[in-house]
Amino acid sequence: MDTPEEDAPSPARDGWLRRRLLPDGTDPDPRFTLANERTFLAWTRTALALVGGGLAVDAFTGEVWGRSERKLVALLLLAIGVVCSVGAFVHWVRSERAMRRGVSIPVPILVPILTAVSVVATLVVLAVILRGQL
Amino acid sequence: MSSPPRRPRAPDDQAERTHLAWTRSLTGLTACSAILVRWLARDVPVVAPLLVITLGAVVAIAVTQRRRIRRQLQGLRDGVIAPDVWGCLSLTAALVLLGVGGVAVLFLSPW
Repeated sequence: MDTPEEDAPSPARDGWLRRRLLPDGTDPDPRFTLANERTFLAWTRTALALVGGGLAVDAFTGEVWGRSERKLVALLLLAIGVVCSVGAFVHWVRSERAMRRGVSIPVPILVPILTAVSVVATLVVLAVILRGQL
Repeated sequence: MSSPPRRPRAPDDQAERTHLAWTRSLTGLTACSAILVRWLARDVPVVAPLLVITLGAVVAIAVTQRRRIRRQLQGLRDGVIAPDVWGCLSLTAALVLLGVGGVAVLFLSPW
């Protein structure tokens, strides 16, 4: 016999995209769903800062840096911004799936990638500044 | 003497915090739009669509904020909230388009 809980439509299961991305499991505590959404937004703002930084470097440093250095730094920032944005969405979906299945939330693969690219970008900027002073 | 028991925090602040997180994202997108205005002088046919995408995302978030917080408050009371798949996917798509479009401008612009 079906329980009332099984009969009741789950708000978390309507919509074809939601069914496709989150096909199984049970609805987690709504506070966890909202916390996951806020983490996604925090990563997205990091991506936004990187993309905005890339746009700003190219828009405002024309009189300070040469064309190739400017383009290189802007390209690095824009590229890592896009990677960060896509990674944020992937991590959000993986975390939501893990919560629905009652398993541990996966470690974000973005952290080492973002760290490595940030170090490279910092070194490039340092090299550009030092080359300008010499 | 023992201290009085703490009252549990109302779950409604979860919706408020999420609402503020969306608002901060909206602010970041607005700042990006302002930088893109500076780029408009370079290459209008490429930069104008990027500006439309960014401002479109800003307007979309602003318009859906009220509905979003109402849905979340209702969900917290009901004990279940549907994850905002379309909201998260749309924001990601807007950012990817902005980043890829930015790279295109970098290479197309003669500056």
